[in-house]
Amino acid sequence: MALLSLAILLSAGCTVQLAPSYDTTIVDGLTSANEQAMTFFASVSSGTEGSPFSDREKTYDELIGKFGALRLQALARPTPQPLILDYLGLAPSAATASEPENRLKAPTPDILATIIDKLTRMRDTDKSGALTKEFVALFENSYELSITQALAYEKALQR
Amino acid sequence: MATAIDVNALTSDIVKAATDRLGRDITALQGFAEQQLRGLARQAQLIAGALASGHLSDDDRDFFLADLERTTRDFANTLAGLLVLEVEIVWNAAVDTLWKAIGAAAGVALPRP
Repeated sequence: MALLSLAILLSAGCTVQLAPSYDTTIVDGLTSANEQAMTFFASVSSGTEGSPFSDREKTYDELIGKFGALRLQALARPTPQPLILDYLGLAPSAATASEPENRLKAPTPDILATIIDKLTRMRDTDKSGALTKEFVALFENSYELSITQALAYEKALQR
Repeated sequence: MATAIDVNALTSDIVKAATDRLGRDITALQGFAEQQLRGLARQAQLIAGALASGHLSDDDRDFFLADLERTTRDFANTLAGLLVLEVEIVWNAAVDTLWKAIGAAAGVALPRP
């Protein structure tokens, strides 16, 4: 078995890249947008009753726009499809041949789409005048889960 | 002058090269997973509390339940992505160690693969 592994290594004869390259502009963008988002959550943590939606509309739009731009940037990043996938049993099967990128797809674009949906829903809830502290707690905890996922993955790419 | 490769020593070197890095990463991975699972449980608690106190309409309930499902799926995909990264790190550490050993045994400077 050890010899077989050695033979495979030698025949492949190269180092591999199974995940996208680290992109400092994505990490910096996520960090910056997250700072703005957490500051915003802190400012509405008691709910928004009595405060006009127009005071916050620009912040919602900025945050949604920033995460949307970061998602496009992450989507445009090349996904490696190396030969090693055959050895690891991760090569696209006939059933998925039309979507080979799914095998090693980076999770970041989906996570950012989830964040955009949360912020859009929060904006709409706020606009309807119903953004209570209970809603803010729900949106904030959910947001924190998603942004932590994106940051953990993107920072790990700096190997 | 060429020298023979000690397979046992080389195997130990490969294992060490891989596990030195892997050990640190797995600890970080475990911390990330635990933090996420606590956060997901907290979200379930918040949804249940808001539902019980009548703060959520049916539409709100459906949104937050769908959001929880999606966030959990994103967590699983993130974990899978991080594990693929570990496979890459182990593979490259092994290849690098092998190339160094072959170069040293053959007395030649092999270019890094």
